[in-house]
Amino acid sequence: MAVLTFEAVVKRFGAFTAVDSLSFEVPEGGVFGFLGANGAGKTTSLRMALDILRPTAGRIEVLGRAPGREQAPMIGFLPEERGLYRQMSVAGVISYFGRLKGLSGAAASSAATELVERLDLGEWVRKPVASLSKGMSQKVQLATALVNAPRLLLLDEPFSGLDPVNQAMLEDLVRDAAAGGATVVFSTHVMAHAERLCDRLLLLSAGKSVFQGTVGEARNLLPARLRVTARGAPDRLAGVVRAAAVRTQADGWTDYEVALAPGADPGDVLEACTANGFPLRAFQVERASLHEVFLHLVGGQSGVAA
Amino acid sequence: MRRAWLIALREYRQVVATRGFWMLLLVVPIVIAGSVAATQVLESPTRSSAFVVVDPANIVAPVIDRRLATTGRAGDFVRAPPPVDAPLNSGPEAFGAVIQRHFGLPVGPGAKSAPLALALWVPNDLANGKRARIWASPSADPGLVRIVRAAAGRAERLAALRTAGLSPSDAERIESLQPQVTTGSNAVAPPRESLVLRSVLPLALVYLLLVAAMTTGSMMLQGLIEERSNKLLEAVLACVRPEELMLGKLLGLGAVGLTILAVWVACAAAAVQALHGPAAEMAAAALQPLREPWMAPALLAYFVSGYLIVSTVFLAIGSMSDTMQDAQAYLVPALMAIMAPVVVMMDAVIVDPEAAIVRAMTWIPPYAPFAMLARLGGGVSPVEVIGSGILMIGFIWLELFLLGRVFRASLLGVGQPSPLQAVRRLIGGRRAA
Repeated sequence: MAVLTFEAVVKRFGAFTAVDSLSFEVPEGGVFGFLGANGAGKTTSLRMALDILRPTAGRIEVLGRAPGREQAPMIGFLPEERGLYRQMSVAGVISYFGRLKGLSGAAASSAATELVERLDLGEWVRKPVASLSKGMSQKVQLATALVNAPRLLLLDEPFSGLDPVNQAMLEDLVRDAAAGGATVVFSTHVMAHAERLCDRLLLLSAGKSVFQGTVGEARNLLPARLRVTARGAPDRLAGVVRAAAVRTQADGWTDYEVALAPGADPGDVLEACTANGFPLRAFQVERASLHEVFLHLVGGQSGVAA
Repeated sequence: MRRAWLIALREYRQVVATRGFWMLLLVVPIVIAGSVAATQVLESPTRSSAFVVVDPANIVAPVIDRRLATTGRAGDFVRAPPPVDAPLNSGPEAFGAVIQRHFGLPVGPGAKSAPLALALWVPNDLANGKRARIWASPSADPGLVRIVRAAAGRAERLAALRTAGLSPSDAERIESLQPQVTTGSNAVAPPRESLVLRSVLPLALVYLLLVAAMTTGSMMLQGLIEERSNKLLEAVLACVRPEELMLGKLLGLGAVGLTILAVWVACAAAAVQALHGPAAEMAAAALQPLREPWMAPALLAYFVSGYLIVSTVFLAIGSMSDTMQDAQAYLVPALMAIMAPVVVMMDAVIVDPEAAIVRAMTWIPPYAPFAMLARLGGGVSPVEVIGSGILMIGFIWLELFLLGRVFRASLLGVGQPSPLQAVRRLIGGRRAA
C-alpha cells in the first residue's frame, strides 16, 4: 500500500512553476528520499502533502485520503525552517504539539517525557526553549515531530544546521523510526545522507521527476569504472570501451583505468578474463556515486552536496 | 474545535505569563485604590481635632453630639473641657481672646487630647437677644464648623421664637419645618445630571474596551509575528487549519480581555463598597443602570462584540506582517480609523447622548459597540438595539470570514513574500516573486 501518492501534481506560484506534473508513490515502510537541488520543488511537494499548500492541478493522497488535518495524528513533520515557542518549557512544547496531533494530555506528557530522555534532554525538561542551544532546539523540534509515534514521518532537510554528531544521532533516529514501522520521507540535497539511509528515492529537478527507484538502481544509471592491474591492456574484452594505463610497475604489471559500456556488468568482464586466460593481479569495481548520478541527470544545475 | 481550544489555552497562558499583562491588569486597581484612598483622605479630617463648648444651660452641646453621631463623625472630633486659663465668667470677648491662643495646641484629657480647632460660647440666656459666638481656627474641619453652626443657630431661633410669644412646642414645630422633598425622575425628560451619572459606567466600559482591545490586540499581533519570524507556523499549520489557528487566537485573547474586564469590574465594585459619603452616593447613581436586568448582559455583549471587532483587525495585520516594522505600516492607519471616531463620539455623548454623530455611529457596525455602550445609560430605543445588533453581528461574521481568507492566504504563503512586501515591490517597480 502506498502511504503517499502524487499523480500529475502541478504547483504554480504566479508564472513560476514549482512542481511540474510530478507523479510518484511512496510504499509503506522504509525510508524514502526526496532529492534535489535547492528550488527543485521538494519543500513545496511536502507542503502540498500536508495540505499547507494546495496543488494547482493533479491529485495527492496521504495515508489513503486527500491531504488534510484529519491525518495529523498519524503524521510527524519537521519543517526546514524551524522554530519553537521560546517561552514554553521543553516538555511543554513537545506535549503541546502532541495534543495538537490528537493525543490526550496524559499521553502527550508521557510521550514527551520518554522523548526527552531518549534525546538526552532530561536536565532541560522544565527549562524554557529560549535557554537551549541551537543543537538542542533542533532535537526538541524533532521530538515535536515524533511525539505522536507517526505512521508517516516527513522531514524537510532534517540535517541542515546540525553538527556531525547530531547528524549521526538524527540518522539513527530515522533508522529507528523506520525499524519501528514508520514510513520516513525526507528531503535533502546532501547525497551522502540519502545514500546511507534511503531504500528508495526520487530525484527532482526544476519541479520534475528525473529518477525514481532504489539507490542501487540509481547508481547503475552510470557505468561502473574498473581499476585493473594486468600484463596487457584489457581494451579488447567484451563490454570494455576504453582502458587507460595509469602506472607500469617494475615487474611488468600495469594499472589500468577501464571504462565500461553503459549497462555492462563488471562481473561479465571478470568472467571473460578468467575464460580467456587474461592474467590479473587486481580487479576493483568502482560504481558511480549518487552525487555523480545526480549531476549526470540534472546536467549543469548544481546546488547539491556530495 | 478541540485544537482551537488548545491554541486558545496556550495563547492565554503565554499572555498571562508576561509582565505586560500583570502591569495592565494591576494598573486600574491601583488607580482605583488610589482614588478611593484620596477620596477618604479628602473627606476625613487630616487628623482628629478638639472643640470646646461653653454652654451652661446645656442646650446646644447635646445637639452637636447627636449630629456628630448621626453623620458618623463622632470619632473624628473630641469635645474637650475649656482650658483652665479660659475665663468663663468674663463674657465672650475675654473668653474668645484667650481661647484663640490655644488653637492648634492639644486640649482634652490625656490620650484623648487633640489640637483645638473650634470653640463655641453659648450665653446663659439666649432669649434676651444674646447671641452665641463661634471661634474657628483656619484648619478647622468644615464639617465640624457646619454642624456646630447649625446647632447654635437652631438654639438661637428657638429662643427668638419663644421671645416672640410662642409656646416651646410651637417654637419647636416651626423650627422643624422643612419642605417636603420627593425623589424621582421624569421619564420623558430626565435631568441632565442624572443622565451623565447613568452614563458613567457605560462610558467607563468604552474606555476599558478601548484599552483592553488595543493592549491585548498588540499582544496578539506580537505573538503572531513571533510565530512567523520564528518559523513556527509551518509546524503548527501541519497540525491545525488556519481557521482553527485564527479562532484559537481570538478565543485565547478574548479570554484575556474578559479576565482583565472581570478583575477591573471586581475592583471597581470593591471600591464602591469601600466608599462612603457623597462619593458613595455618586457611585451608587452611576451603577444604577445595572439594576435593570437586561443591562449587564447588554453591556457584556457589546463589550465582547467591540473586542472581537478590534482584535480581528490586529489579527489580520499580524497575519500579513513578518516583522513589527511591517505591522506598524498597517497599525497606524488602522488605529486611527478605530480610535478617532470613538474619541469624538465619546465627547459628543457626554454633551448630548442623542447627538446626531452618536446616533449615526450606532448604525456603523465597526463603531456600533462603542456607540451603544456609551448610549446605554441614557436609554436606547429597541429599534436601534435590534437593528444595529443585526448589522453588528453581520459585520463580525463578515470580518471573521474575510480574516479567515486573509489568514489562509497570508499564512499559507509560507516562504513567499508577505503581502506588504509584495506591495512594496510593486511600488518599487519590481515584480513580487
